[in-house]
Amino acid sequence: MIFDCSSPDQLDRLMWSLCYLSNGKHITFYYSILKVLVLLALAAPISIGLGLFLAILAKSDISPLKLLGKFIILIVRGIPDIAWFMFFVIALDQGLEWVRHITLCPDWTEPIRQGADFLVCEKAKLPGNSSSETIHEIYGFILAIVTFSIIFGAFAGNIFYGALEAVPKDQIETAEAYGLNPRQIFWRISFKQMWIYALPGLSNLWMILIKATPLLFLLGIEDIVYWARELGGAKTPRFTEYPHGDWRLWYFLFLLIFYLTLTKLSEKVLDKLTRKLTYGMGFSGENFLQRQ
Amino acid sequence: METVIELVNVKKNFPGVSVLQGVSLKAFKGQVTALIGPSGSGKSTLLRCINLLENSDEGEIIFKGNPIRWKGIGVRRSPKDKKQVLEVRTKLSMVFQQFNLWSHLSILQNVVEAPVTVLRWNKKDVEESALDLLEKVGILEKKDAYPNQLSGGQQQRAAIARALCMKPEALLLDEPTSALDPELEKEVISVIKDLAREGTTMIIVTHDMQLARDIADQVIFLHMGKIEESGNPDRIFSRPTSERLKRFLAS
Amino acid sequence: MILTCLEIIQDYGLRSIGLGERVLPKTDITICHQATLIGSGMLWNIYFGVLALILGFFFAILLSLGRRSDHQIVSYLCDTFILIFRGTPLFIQFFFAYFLFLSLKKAFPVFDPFTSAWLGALIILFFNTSAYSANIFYGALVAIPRGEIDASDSFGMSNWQKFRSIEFRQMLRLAWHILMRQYLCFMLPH
Repeated sequence: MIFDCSSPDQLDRLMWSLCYLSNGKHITFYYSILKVLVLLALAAPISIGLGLFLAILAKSDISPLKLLGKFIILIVRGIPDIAWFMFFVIALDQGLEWVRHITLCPDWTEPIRQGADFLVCEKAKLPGNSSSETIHEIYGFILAIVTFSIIFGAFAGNIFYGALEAVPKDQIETAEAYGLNPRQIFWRISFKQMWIYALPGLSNLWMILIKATPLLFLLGIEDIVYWARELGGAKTPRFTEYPHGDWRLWYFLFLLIFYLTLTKLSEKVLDKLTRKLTYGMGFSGENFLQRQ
Repeated sequence: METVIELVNVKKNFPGVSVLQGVSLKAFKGQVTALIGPSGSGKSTLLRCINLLENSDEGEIIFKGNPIRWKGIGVRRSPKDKKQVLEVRTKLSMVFQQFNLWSHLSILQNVVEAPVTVLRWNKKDVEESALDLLEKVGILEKKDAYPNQLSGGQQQRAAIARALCMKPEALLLDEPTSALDPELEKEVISVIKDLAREGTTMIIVTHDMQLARDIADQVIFLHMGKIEESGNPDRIFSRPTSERLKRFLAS
Repeated sequence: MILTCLEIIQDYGLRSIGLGERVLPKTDITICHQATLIGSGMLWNIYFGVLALILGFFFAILLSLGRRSDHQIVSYLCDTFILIFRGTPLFIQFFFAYFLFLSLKKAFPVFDPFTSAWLGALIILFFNTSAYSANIFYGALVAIPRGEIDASDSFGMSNWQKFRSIEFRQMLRLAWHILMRQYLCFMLPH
């Protein structure tokens, strides 16, 4: 450290703030901001990939695949996202543990479900009891990313499916008239034109994804909400070198500004992207966006 | 004279309506066949049946001496052999009323797309001939523009270049000037006239009697899904025999 | 089985609003218990949802008109309001408002009721749904064909007459479906 923070009570105001904002706990707070960004950076592309996969499935000629794709898109659409978050993480976690339980402890006799509790044998616990705090954190975080990706992937699937349907029929018919086969028509015409129809929906979804990130807190991740409450709470000199009153208001104000910046920035980028993609195409993206 | 397309008693029903009630015709190599008739007479459907975009229910469609092979009968009838469909579609290039240029591709890409992906011709060569064609129809400077940045007339000329780039046996033109303002119509008509003069085989559906008279070697008057009268343009336009054609030309 | 479940519903169905049994069953929590308790919690959803939506509907109309206003300050304020409530997570808004009201309470005891969920959360939900609806209304207002406004001008309608007989109806008509879809999403646990 460039400046000396060894005895904070003797520092002037500016130095005190600098030292306060760079103490160990705050570094963890900054890491938790990074967690949000990592979550966004991973969940978004995985969701898009999964969404494309589902949409292609739902558009396929083979009827069982078609039904499966449509079904997945439909059920995820019909149920509010927060219900999925709560249900999914628990289901995923318990599902994994249950599979391990069956394979690792075949001679376990007690019932797994005891009232509201879910009990599996020691060896099946995920992560293992002996694992460090960090492993627990990482496991939880991965579970969260998987949850976000699957839920938003299904939403994206719905968007892509609608976009594929929105490609004008005469564009496809013309391709037929020129002898392109169904596969060529799909990949060279529908798939390429689909993006512009999907973009408004995807922009919307991205905004929803950003605003859903504080749900990490509900999943038990030590995220920015957790740390804002933790760091903002009043501190007496007995527990910290930096005693202060209840500052949670200011920490949450910071979070509001953080999210506002993030959405505003996304809006700018997405606007630019829309303009670039709509360049020369039949309709202005703005008109289309307004319909959302 | 070599026959490119021959139809024998072709019938087509849409639910509740009989669109084509037995149409027989021949289109010859190097000639222009014009299909005229009131709206709803089945002209466009006939053209789409020829290109197999629409399945006819009965009758024969013979492309260069080879009849299309079918499976199923009636409304369930469809072409049996995908290769044959591909051959017909690549050798008969369609020009649509609404141009139907692919909106995500530039003009040059539009022209190059099918010859490269479907016919697997060498991209360099195709591009070269595409540029020649764009020059011929007078929109070379728009080659990198996107369809919606062009006027209707320019789009239609691009669509004609796209059709020609397939080096087809014949062009099928479906009301190529109907969606255009009178002013823009002229530039497309002049391109079509040039093609006719060069001896391009064309089957054209049109409401423009003057155009039909100027370029056609054979005019076919369709009414209610049937050929009412046909012949060379002089006779059709100067000495129509059927009452319906007389009334149609008078209107 | 069904009978015991009915009993459980009787006992705990209204628990979330302070009626019936207070103490949760210690043993034997069945699926029925869980469903009843969750369902009981949803009563709050309905209260919050309906109240916030009704109030928000009217406030949203004002906000959208404000945003379109020629008065620059009014327009800017409405725009910022919409931006803040649409651009940040509801979850964070709740926390922020709670701590804001806590601080205010210390200075002014009048703010005491605001720190309890029934009022504090209601206000945030109200603002939130207002902002989202206002955005939809604004989009509808802008989408009204220019020619119709010109026509009403040409018949000499005053601004208020124009709003009442042309714009307001058109706005509702254009916004209705999107609004209903949004309300539906809103009513589900948020």
